[in-house]
Amino acid sequence: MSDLAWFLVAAVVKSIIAIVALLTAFAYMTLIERRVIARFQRRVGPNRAGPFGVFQPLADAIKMAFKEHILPAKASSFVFLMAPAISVFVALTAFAVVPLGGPTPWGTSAIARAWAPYIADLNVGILYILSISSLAVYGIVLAGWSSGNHYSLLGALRSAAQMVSYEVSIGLALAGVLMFAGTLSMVGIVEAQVHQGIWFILAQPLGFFLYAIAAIAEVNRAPFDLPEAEQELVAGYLTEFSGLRWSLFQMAEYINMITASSVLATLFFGGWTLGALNGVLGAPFIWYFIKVAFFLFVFIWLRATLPRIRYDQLMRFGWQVLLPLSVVNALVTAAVVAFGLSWWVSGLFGLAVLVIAVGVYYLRARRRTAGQMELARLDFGTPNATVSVGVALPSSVRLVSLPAANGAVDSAAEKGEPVVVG
Amino acid sequence: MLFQQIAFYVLAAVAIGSALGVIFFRNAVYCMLSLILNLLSLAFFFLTLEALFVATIQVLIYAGAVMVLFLFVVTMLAPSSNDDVTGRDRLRWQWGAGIGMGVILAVALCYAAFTGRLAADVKASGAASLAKQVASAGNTQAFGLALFHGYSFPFEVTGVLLVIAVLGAVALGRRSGAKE
Repeated sequence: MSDLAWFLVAAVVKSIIAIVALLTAFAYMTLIERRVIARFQRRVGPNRAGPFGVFQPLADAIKMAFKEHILPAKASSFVFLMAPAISVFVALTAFAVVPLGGPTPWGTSAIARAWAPYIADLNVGILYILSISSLAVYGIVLAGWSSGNHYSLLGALRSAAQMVSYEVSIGLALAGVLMFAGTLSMVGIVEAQVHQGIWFILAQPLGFFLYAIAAIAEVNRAPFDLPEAEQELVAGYLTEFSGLRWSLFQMAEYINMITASSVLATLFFGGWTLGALNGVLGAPFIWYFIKVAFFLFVFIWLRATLPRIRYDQLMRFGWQVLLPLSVVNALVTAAVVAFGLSWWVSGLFGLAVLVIAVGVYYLRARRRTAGQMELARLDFGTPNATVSVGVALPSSVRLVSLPAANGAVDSAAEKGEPVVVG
Repeated sequence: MLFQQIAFYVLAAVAIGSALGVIFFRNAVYCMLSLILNLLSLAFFFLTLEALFVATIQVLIYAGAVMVLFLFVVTMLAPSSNDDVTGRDRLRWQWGAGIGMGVILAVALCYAAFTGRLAADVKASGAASLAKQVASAGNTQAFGLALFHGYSFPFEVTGVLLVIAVLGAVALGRRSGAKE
């Protein structure tokens, strides 16, 4: 066979392997997530189906498959049926450029290269992932719109606004890494890290945290899972979906998580490499697996720890915190690369910005706590209730405007700003 | 070569079909979906020309960002899926204008394609050709070099144009907000 034919055969086989692996990973991620979150909440979690509940995903799949498929009367049926398929298709496609190993683990001949452990090494690798995952929003918006239901539509629109807002920060946060690597190819980025002898987390700590946060928002995970905020929107865009179609959306979410974790591992933690052990056959898979598993655990950890943030907080955070920091990070990194400075310059800068950001957050949180205690102390029965100087009252209009003797407090609270008295 | 020809005709059919869908669907959301399909098929055209970077950017910017905002507005304004556009067509003159422009474009394209006038200018050969540059420097690099070295002035003028557009949008938005 010709090289081209070999290449095509290899690509098809590798795609099938990747899809099967991703679907299996999805199935077991659901189990692991339930078990881990149960541990966080001092429960046991699903442990009935097989030892440690290992057959639970299978049981869930059978249950889902035999559930009734409901097509709402007001639904736009073609789009309603297409939406879950779009979500899963996009999620699976994005994974194609993630490298699970170097280009030549089996040798350097053309046929061996065709079987390299990634489906494609595109010249535009990371842009490919960004562009495919930017299509993910269609699955959600179309699902919400086609359900013919206001809760679904609102959930979908929230999700669209959220994903579009955070995509900007994602692109800018990754720009720093791309400048250091000098290439967009995922394989090339890993090679650049091996070549420069560092993981790019060291040069780009700020970029790493910005991308990690924006990626969580992009895959609609807690604490950014507003589209599914059940106390406001029932189940958001998922409201009208049942059975397998519902689980297709879950599948897309988990596969997107795996892809985001892979990007984090590849761009910031050297992907499949780990020092001198790179050459050992099979070792790259294990390093890659460990790194991705770590980030997946962090995703679950965050979900178990953080409460969901409000919609206005989400938007303000995305546009007023993440985006400016990403721009600053990109500018400083560009200067460092252009003037040929060492990597630790941008690394130290990123750490300094992170320390300042955490400090500011801590101080504000302390002022808010003081404000809460102040509210508890205040006696709202008296007309001359006074507020101490230097505390931030909660921005909730209901809480502040109840009695407040102070006109300034009311007007500021209506604008939704934290109130500082004094 | 055969593979490329098949791909071209399939893509051409999809592109034209989806473009017609943009015009003829009565439901605004279906029009949007046709437009997205059209933009994606254009991206595949770029792919068949081996312009990987342009294809990716086409998906990222047009299909992924611009169309999402369009879809956002359309689904918000026409929330019911059964809300077809009905009533009298108040923009009938657009039919004539559209047909006229279409005929002009078709004639110009036919002239360029069948006389070969345009092709002589577009087809550069040897080291100057884009294909050579892409092969030697890589897709993204060739694009970047062209953008920032060959065409930096048009690029910056476009940037200024976009800033003006944004300022105009802000100005319009503020004025309507002040009226309330």
